[in-house]
Amino acid sequence: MPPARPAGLRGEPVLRFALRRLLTAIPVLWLVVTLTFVVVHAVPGSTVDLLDNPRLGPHEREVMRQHFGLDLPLHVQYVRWLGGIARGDLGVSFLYRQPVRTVVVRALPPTLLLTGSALLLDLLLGIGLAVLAVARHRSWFDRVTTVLSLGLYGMPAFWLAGLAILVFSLKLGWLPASHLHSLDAASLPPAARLADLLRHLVLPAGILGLAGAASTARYLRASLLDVRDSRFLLAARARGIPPWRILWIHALRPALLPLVTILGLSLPFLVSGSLVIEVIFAWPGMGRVMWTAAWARDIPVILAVTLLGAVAVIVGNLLADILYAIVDPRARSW
Amino acid sequence: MDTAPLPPRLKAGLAGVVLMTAACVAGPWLLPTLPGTDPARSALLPPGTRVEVAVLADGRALVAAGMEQRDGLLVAGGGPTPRVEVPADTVVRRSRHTFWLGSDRYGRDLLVELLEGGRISLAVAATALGLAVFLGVGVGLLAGSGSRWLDAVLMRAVDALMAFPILFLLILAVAVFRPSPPLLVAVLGATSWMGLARLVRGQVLSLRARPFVVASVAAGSPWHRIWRLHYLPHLTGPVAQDAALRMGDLVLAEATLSYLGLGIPPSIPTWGSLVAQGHKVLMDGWWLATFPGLAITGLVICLALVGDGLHQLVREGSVNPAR
Repeated sequence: MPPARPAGLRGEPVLRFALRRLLTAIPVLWLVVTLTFVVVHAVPGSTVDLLDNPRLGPHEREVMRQHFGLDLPLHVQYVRWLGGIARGDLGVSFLYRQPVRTVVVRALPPTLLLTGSALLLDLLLGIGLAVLAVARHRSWFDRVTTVLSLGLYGMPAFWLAGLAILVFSLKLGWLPASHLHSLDAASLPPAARLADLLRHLVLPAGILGLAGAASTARYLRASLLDVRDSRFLLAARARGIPPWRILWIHALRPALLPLVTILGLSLPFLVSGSLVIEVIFAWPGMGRVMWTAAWARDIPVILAVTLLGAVAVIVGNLLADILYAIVDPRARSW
Repeated sequence: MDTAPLPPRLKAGLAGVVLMTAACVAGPWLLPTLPGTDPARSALLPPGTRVEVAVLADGRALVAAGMEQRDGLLVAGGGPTPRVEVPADTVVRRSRHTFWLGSDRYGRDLLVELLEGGRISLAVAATALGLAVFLGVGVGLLAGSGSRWLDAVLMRAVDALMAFPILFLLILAVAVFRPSPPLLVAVLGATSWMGLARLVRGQVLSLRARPFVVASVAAGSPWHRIWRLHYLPHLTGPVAQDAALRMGDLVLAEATLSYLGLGIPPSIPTWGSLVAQGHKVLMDGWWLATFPGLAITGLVICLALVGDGLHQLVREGSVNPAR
């Protein structure tokens, strides 16, 4: 099912379109964070109750509650928080005792590294395999890649991660199974540190990227086969354009259309990371921050990560529509 | 109505789904049951291990690779299983058992657990799918056929829900309500209908402008007649195709959540929690995580084949012939 062409873009300058979309997104953002605020506060048990430190008596807990502002009436907390957001202040994490901004800024680079390299692998491998498979349609190569990508598509990421750790870390000992660096990484020379980081990146990024590449290849192969018989390609063949050029340029461009939408929609994935993979590989990124914050009821972090995720979804949607208009001249007006 | 031949992948996928469902539903009844477990001797046996089982008078079971009777004693042991001797007259019954997929840390048969877990996994995914289809089709129909205002409100709500972090909701919900199958079904169903609502709304918006609908409205048909006669029949193809793929997503989602300990309580086996159990003994029993994972993969692949096949049918126009 091809995604519907953006209806809003026809007959409207792209900047105005983007602005209008961002403005209409504000109520959605507000709805998301308010919902989260309500849910987080509706859940019994606060950070303070969850601290099982025997030296904390009722009095100390009350002081902490006051310190975190949890003793205030809900509407006051809500207004304070919204006011902070308006000033660009995300509050202070209960768990890390640091500004939320610091926590997020620390977790974002590892996540971007992981998801960015996964996405790169996804696109390179996915597009490459799909085009090669269609070039040799019904050959053994096509069959093997089709079966492989279908298989990879069905495999749960956490299971594949366990298998990869078993084979590559525990049995063969080739690659580290967790964390961003080795323990002695700080004492290594820069080149060795980079190599160490990359070695840690291989398994998590490889699994995320392969799983993505399987979907991309599946999607793109079907989409390429759809356009293969169209008249403009017949015309291109009649003009004597070499087959590789027809495939890689003339056929690939329209076939990539739905992929562009998917690419825009992958922005939230880039920013929020993959929770399961980060938890399994102890990768210190946004997914892990989310995970620990939710268990520890670290309300400022929960709200900030939610807000960030929601912004990513909305901006991603917008980017998808604009990118779509850039690659498909029929959907644009400028 | 003449029927076009079904695409082979649709047949293959359907056969796979039906086969796996039947195995999970009927399997645990048909399989020879292990009379009891013997964690000391039958934990972590590799796939294909044949054992002898002796049930003792006090209800305990002895499981060992080999058993022989000697001087009024039953000597159990052999192979990797530690030796034990019991008086032969306390043995009530002896039988043989094959651990086709190996045994787990407690000496249970993985095959039986896999099939029983499959029941839960399938039931959760199918019920959640039912909920998602009901909500998605309902909201999509309302948004597509209702007023402009209703459409805008419903679609903004869909946008907000799509941007809402589902996992948070689940972690928080689990902290309050304890993980349970109904909670999981509710959360999975309530968070996976939005894509379908968009799809249905789009279809209804385009149907709404078609002459036969316009004519029906002009003739004064009530809304439920238009829904029943014009909208719903045209939605079956796209919805079925979307539902097949979504079912696969739900199977994966259930497995992921159970793996993280957020789905089904660990005491009930599901494919996801079986993989999690297996990962705890990754080095000693590779089969424990491998087979449940393969089961998930197989089911998701079959569902993808069904989805692909339905897509082909819809595109060729043999499901919804009105063009």
